[in-house]
Amino acid sequence: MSEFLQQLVNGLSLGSTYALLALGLAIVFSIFGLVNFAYGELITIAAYMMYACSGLGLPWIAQAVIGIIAAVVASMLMDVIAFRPVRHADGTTMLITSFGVAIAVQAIVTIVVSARSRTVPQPEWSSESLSFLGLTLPSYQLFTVIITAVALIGLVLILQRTTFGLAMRASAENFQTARLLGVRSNRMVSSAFALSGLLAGIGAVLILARTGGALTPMMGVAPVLKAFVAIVIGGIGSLGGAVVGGLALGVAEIALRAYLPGEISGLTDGILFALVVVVVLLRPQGIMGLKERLRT
Amino acid sequence: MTHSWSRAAQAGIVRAIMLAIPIAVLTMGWAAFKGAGGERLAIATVVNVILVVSIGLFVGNSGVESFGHVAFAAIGAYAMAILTTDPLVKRTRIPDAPFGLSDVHLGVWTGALVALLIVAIVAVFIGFVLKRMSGISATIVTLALLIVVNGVLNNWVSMTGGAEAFYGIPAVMTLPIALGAMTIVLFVAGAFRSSPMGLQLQASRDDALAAGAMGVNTSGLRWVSFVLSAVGAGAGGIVLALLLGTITPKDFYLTLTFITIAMLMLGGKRSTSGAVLGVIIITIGNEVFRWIGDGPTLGTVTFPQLPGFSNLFLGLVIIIMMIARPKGLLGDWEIDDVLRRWRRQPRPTVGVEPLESVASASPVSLRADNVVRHFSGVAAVDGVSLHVEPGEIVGLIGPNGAGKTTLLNLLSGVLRPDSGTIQIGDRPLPTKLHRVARAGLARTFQNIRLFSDLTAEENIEVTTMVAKASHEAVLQPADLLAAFGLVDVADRAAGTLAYGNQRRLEIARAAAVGAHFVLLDEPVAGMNEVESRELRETIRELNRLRGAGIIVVEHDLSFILGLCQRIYVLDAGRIIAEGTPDEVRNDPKVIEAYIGSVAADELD
Amino acid sequence: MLRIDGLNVRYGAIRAVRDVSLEVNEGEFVVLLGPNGAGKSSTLSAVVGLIKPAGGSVHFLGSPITGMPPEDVIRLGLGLTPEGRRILAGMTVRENLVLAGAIRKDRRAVAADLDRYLDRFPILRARADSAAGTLSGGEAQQLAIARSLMAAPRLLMLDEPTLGLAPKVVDQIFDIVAELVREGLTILMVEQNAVRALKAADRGYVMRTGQIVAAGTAEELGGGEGLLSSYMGVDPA
Repeated sequence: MSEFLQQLVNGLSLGSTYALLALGLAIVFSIFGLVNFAYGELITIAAYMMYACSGLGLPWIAQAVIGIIAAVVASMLMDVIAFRPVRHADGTTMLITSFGVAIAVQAIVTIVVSARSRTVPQPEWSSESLSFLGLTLPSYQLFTVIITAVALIGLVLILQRTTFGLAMRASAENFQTARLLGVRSNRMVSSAFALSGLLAGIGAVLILARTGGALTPMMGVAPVLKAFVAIVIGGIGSLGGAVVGGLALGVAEIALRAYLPGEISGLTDGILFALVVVVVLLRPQGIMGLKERLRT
Repeated sequence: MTHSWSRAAQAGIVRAIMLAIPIAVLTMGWAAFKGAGGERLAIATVVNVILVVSIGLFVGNSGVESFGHVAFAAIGAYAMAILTTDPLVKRTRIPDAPFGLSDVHLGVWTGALVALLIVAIVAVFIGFVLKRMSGISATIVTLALLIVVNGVLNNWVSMTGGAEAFYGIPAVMTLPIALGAMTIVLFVAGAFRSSPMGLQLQASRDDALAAGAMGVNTSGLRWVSFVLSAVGAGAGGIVLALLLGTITPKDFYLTLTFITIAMLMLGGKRSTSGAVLGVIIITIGNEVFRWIGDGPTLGTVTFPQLPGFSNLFLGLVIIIMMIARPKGLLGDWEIDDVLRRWRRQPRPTVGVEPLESVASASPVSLRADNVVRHFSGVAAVDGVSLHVEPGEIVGLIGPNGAGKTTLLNLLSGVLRPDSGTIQIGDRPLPTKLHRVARAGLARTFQNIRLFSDLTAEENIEVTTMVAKASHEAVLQPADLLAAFGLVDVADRAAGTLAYGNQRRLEIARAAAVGAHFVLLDEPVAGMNEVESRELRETIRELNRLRGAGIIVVEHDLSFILGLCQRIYVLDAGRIIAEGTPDEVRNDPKVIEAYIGSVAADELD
Repeated sequence: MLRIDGLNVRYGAIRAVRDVSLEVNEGEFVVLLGPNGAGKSSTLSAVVGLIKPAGGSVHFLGSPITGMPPEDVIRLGLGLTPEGRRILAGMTVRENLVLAGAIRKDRRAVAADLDRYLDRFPILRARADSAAGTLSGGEAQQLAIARSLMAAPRLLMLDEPTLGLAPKVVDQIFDIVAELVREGLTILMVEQNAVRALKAADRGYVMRTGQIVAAGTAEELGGGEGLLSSYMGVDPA
């Protein structure tokens, strides 16, 4: 039983990370209509920025903050440089552009830092274990769940209680009508990208805590693919769906890894992606999505 | 240019030769210049041509982006590896291979054929799943395919040896053989593009709804092109395996996908020649950038080492292309277009006499009985019954929100009724959209859905191809162009035509396949008096030529009153009046529907 | 106050609005009539900036606003209650109104207006915290109008405000519009109920196939008979 609970917490912590990342991807999609393949690179940029800061001897909290800021800035730059010019093109042109951005950024990181794996030293406490309700849990898992919960609550508060949040929800529902009410479209798009970057940055911090600080130039690829899966399962275009999809994905992944026999457990990723195909076929709008959202 | 299988084969051969020769010259030259190392690069380049041209066969013709074709290269390569590697090697590398595969030892040619067959089978299954999808959903599925195949290759250790290198594949690939395989692939891709199948698929790429309404079986064609392209990619994988002698799953994953996509986007995904150009430019660029990234010394300057510099080049190419020229450097242009300019025959001058009427020998009437259709709980069409007799011109009018568009969509098979029936003659309207045109019912669209990148003539060709499958008279594209005054613009892309010509082209296109009925959706929207009078004549000519019944939905009341023999008036989903133009014009219910209830009192 | 000169609007190849000129003076109630497909909504959309005109110019309060994006146009005091109402269904009634008022700087005036409109449209106060998507057609139209008013416009354009509404509700809407006119709001309204609208207004324009074919007061336009000929056009050939 305690084994099961530990796996559950593990699943929730992984799922929380996925939920956060999925949300970042979903925000840009619901306002701009772009599935941003280069989103993973925001994670990479944040992580490498933290590495640079650790090299300068800055305390961990400063590293995290600077890393997150770097992701926000990078995201807004991506919008201005690469995505605004193709704003009126169809969905697949934008998708491929984001592909190009992802490749370019990976290459830049490789050039600037090098392709060898590096490590960002993680704070002491993140590798300790805590006793919590009779379970022994790695502290980074609790940390992840708590941070994600805080971030989500903060996001919900912003969206529900502020005028900015109101404008953002209106833009996500119907961009043209929102403009008719006076919402500034450019500002909304930049804000969406900034918010996306913020979530990617936080995600990077959580991923580093989980992996003990491992860095490679391609480290953003796997998370963005998972975030992709999460929003497809949860419903493209639905912010709540992104969260639900992420959590479901995290729990499913841990469950598969833990309970599948040895050889097949390596196929976990494959199974999860096959799941995407099933969802797309049977319920294209995902668990919580709306049919009209799918920009085909 | 007419599309037929024989012309397609010709085009394929010419194109393949015209492209293969420069590639052969370049690669053989390089191999001769640089020796063994050069030959490896040359064959690798040829492999890229095979891959990119194959991917383009699907992506370019269907308009569906695929990130997953490299998975088929992987399947081909690994199937080849497992089948043809010497059992001595296999027994150490994959001793537990299922189905006794560690003892199988096929010859290279046999192995290649079997491997291609395996690729084809997988492609048939995946294609079946994919054929109805388009846009982002389809692309996501292809990406999932890439990842799943990669996962299987990495984890099915007993079969593939897992993530470690699979060595011992007979490394027998030579440049001439690779070039031969490439030429075959170039032929298939080039021929397909110019074939009837290719044209219809391209039509669906430009406008899937219109293509379906014009009788194109989009999902079937996507399936075929997907399988063909997958087999091509598989062939590329096989050639690569026979070159390298040692493969790992990573060789067929994201890096190869990035490169092939960059190459495809650069040259132009629609053009076989473009694909080749893309490969050449990027291969050269890649080598140059890699050379720079290695930190060469030129004279007194030593460049810094920049690992991954060539990837930066790739990423920038993709971004710049998407922003500046999403259609690629060559767009739709093919290398044999150069030849066509010499060989172009002048268009035969068509006589001034109007074409003979080809009215159907077995005319049928169109009946709708109590048709109902809801949208989010509201009945957009609420129990409508109407009929159109052969050769009649019937108008359908009504205020905004009356349900005219919905009714037209129901009659043309785009929407299905919630209840009630629609019959052509004694048979119900086909449920699959692309069968409706084959049953002799065609339509135009309110916001003009032409196949914008196809020429005017090709737009009509698509429907004449479909018409051949029905049993009615088939009109030649040339005749239809003449009948509707479009001869001068026959070779121009439909999207570039003037508005009036576009409307007439849409009608001409429908005429080709509308043996029994043609439905026109707001054909004179945005026209002035002169233009709408001209179009009225065009519609009368259509009526005479085809003998088809015509239903016109319009807001322009004077146009309808002057054209139609009978008019139905629709309001709030119901027919509120029916009759001749005079009857309708004076019907108080009609007046009320249009300008409001107060008027009825005023007009005694 | 509002002057449109030679406006041209295209959707792809379709010329929806051709060389349309009209004007609305301060305090006037002007109606824009015509059969569907005539280009009336397209004209309004182009004025407010939802569509970029292909030619011509639009001036509001003396300054050119041709091609200006809607979020800027509305800040100048020109509002549009769009066809089909376009309520933000996922948000509450109150949120719809608050968002609309957010462009104004004077928080206290905005709060006062919110209160005032909730009083004036009692059904909105009753449903203030329900999702806007649960409102009926007539209620939604009231919300749409209140929403436009929250931006404190100086000229309000209404696009088919009675579309799809029951007769009693149509009466209500016409009453509201009459009130707004009495309070001094300048109004340009596109309407299906042509005769009634023309009677209530100061003057009207009739559009057909993208062009203005008639203009004037109710008398000048020839009442119902005159409207009918304008709608149907010259006798068919």
